[in-house]
Amino acid sequence: MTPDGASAPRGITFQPDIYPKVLTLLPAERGARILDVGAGEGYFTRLAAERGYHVEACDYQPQLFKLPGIPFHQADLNASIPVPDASFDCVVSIEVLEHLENHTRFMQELLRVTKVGGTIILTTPNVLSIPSRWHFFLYGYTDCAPLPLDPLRDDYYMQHINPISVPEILFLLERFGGEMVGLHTNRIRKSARLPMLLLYPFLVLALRAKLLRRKHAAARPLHLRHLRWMLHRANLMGRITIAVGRRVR
Amino acid sequence: MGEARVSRSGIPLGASPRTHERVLAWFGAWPRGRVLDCPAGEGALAHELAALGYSVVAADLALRRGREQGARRACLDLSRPLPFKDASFDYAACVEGIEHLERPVDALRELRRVLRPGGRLVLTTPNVLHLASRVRMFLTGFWSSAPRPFDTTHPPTGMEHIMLLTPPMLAYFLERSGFAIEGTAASRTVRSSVPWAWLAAPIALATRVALRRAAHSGSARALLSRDLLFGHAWLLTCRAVQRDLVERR
Repeated sequence: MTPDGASAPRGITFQPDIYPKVLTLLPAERGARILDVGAGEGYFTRLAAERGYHVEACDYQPQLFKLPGIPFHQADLNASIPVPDASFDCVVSIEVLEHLENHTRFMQELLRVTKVGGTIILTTPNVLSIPSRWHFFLYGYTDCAPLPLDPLRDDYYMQHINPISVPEILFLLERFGGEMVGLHTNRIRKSARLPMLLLYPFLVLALRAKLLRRKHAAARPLHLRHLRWMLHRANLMGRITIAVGRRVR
Repeated sequence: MGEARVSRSGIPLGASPRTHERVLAWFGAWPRGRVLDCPAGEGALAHELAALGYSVVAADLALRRGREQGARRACLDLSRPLPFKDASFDYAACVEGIEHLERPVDALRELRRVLRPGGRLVLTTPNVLHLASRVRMFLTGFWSSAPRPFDTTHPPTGMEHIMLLTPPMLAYFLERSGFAIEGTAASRTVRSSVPWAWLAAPIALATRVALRRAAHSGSARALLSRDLLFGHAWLLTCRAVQRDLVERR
């Protein structure tokens, strides 16, 4: 577990501070069981293991994984995660969702393998920050995949083929027995500050006007939950969405 | 919606206005052959295709088996492997279906599999990139074809647009699944996009700048087409191309 520099697992996210932020969100009890889904070379796996957690890893390409002492589960994350039901206190998936075709199945599996009361931590590029919305408004692409993708690339799985937004994450968490308990980001975007100052009241009014109409009264609790997370500072200004869910049933 | 729209044979039309007519115009010009119409709804399109001389299998989740109105009926789920042999159809029509599926890309691969090489897929789906939808997305974080959160107190009914793909994403997944886009069109003009027409000039400028590389010029052209700036649904015809269909997720 102390590999030399050359063979130490690297983290391949280009955004800073995702890993340190996620580390602060892990369960308080040392020894808690954590599953790192989409572990890559095992960079985060090692960070968590060094902090005393029991960590297991899961990814599509076992040959990339560099930590011999850590249990590794090979899996096509669009299909299933080969570990028993309710077997982890915390499931972490860093910068994985946007690479998967099948968000629904993936989220169902994440909730299945988490214990009731356990934590799910997901990170993905934020497509609903004000700058990302502005880019979508101007030319139809979000900041998750800002340029057309080449469909014939061999390493297609490295592309951000399937951006996902906070309301979609919230929908899938709730659908499979979870709830959203926290929203964080790796950093607040400078380019979001001035538009936030100028636009925030209008964004609040626009969303409230759409979701809190009397004719949607039956859906009011659901819409209030969405308002809370949609208007969250991390959602409107953050570069990376770091969503924390909990399995409730 | 105003008065209920029906096909010439009196079957209610569920799709966006002018979709049915445009799709029939396409089929009217092509050599007759075997068509899989899925999801067929109440069978408006299937009936007219049969009247044009096509041999039609009309399939949906809730159709009874048997032969009615000139089309053979089948019960099937686009979320599962299709019960047909490889290359058993000359055409497939998937009108306003793909946005209801949890795994749209798997469905595209299945449609590609049951089409013969050179066969055609006609696909239509809501256009989330028309001007009013972009304005709505900027202000509320939801686009026009799914303007509110989905209810999570029950599983999706199948009628929700749970998996809307932007036109660039849909084009990407079509090409990855073994299709080449041959032509596109739009259904009716979205009236609420018309007052935003003045945005077309700055959007054209921003799009050309963002997608200035030669490799992206086709994407820029499509994004700036009248169909995508004003159209309610995006209609595509694609050819099944001869390619080794490696299982690529």
